[in-house]
Amino acid sequence: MKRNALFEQLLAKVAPETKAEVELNIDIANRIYDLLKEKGMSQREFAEKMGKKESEISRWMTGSHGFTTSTLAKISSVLGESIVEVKRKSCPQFVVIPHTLYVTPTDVKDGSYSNGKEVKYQCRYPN
Amino acid sequence: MGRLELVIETDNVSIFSPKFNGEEMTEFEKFLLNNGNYEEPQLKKDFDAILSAINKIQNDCGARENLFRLEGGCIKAIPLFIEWPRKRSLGTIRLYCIRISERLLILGNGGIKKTKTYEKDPFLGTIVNDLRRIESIIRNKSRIVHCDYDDYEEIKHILSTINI
Repeated sequence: MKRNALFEQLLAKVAPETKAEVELNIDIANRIYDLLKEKGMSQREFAEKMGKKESEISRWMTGSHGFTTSTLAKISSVLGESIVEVKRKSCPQFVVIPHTLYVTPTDVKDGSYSNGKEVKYQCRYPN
Repeated sequence: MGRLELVIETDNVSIFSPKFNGEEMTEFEKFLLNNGNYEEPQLKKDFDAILSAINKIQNDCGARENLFRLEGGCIKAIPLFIEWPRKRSLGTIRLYCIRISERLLILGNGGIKKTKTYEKDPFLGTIVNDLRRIESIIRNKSRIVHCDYDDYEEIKHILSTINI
């Protein structure tokens, strides 16, 4: 690992929203590029389906374009895959079921649990 | 004459920059120093976007081939988020580079591009021509030792040892 002190010093002054914006644009560009490869679709074919010039699609791939939600929706529809996932309100992922466990001393051999200690606990099962 | 100096190395990418004889800094460091103090918001954002893109490359995705703007031949520029509308008269900042592979990148110098092509700007033209000359040296050396640009260890060794 090697970091550049001058670069890190200047990077620390960059507004967090600028960093986030660039990262998001690059993530979207990478996702579209990977989907095109995965589906064997050329940039020209994609441009035709999007009603755009191929040069514009090339620019999109560099992560230097800010997409509108309308364009993202159209890209999703053309590629048949979602481009950006939005976190929705979370629903419980587990069902909690209470159980009772009888802990019996190890020297009890006859199967009698009458002297066992009752312990209540909860088990989480995938929903 | 000079050498290529390793300026950044992470699990995702190794970034080199030319350091010419008699110079105290690499070309990338010169770019950082010369362009890091813009007060004009548009140029400041350009510069910050370039830093953010390099940060993304070093920490996350490496020098993926789709991310670079073609500037003619093997020379590319770091992706730059261009906000519209913007004052065209101010120009845009360019940082020129040679992308060897996803894991190897050479960052040169750059600056504000106000002309339509870099050839029309003597300062930027010299930067691009220097990088072209360096890429040609690397290409010739890699041919001699029969390795292609995807051979990370071998090409990294070439970059660390060649005279430019």
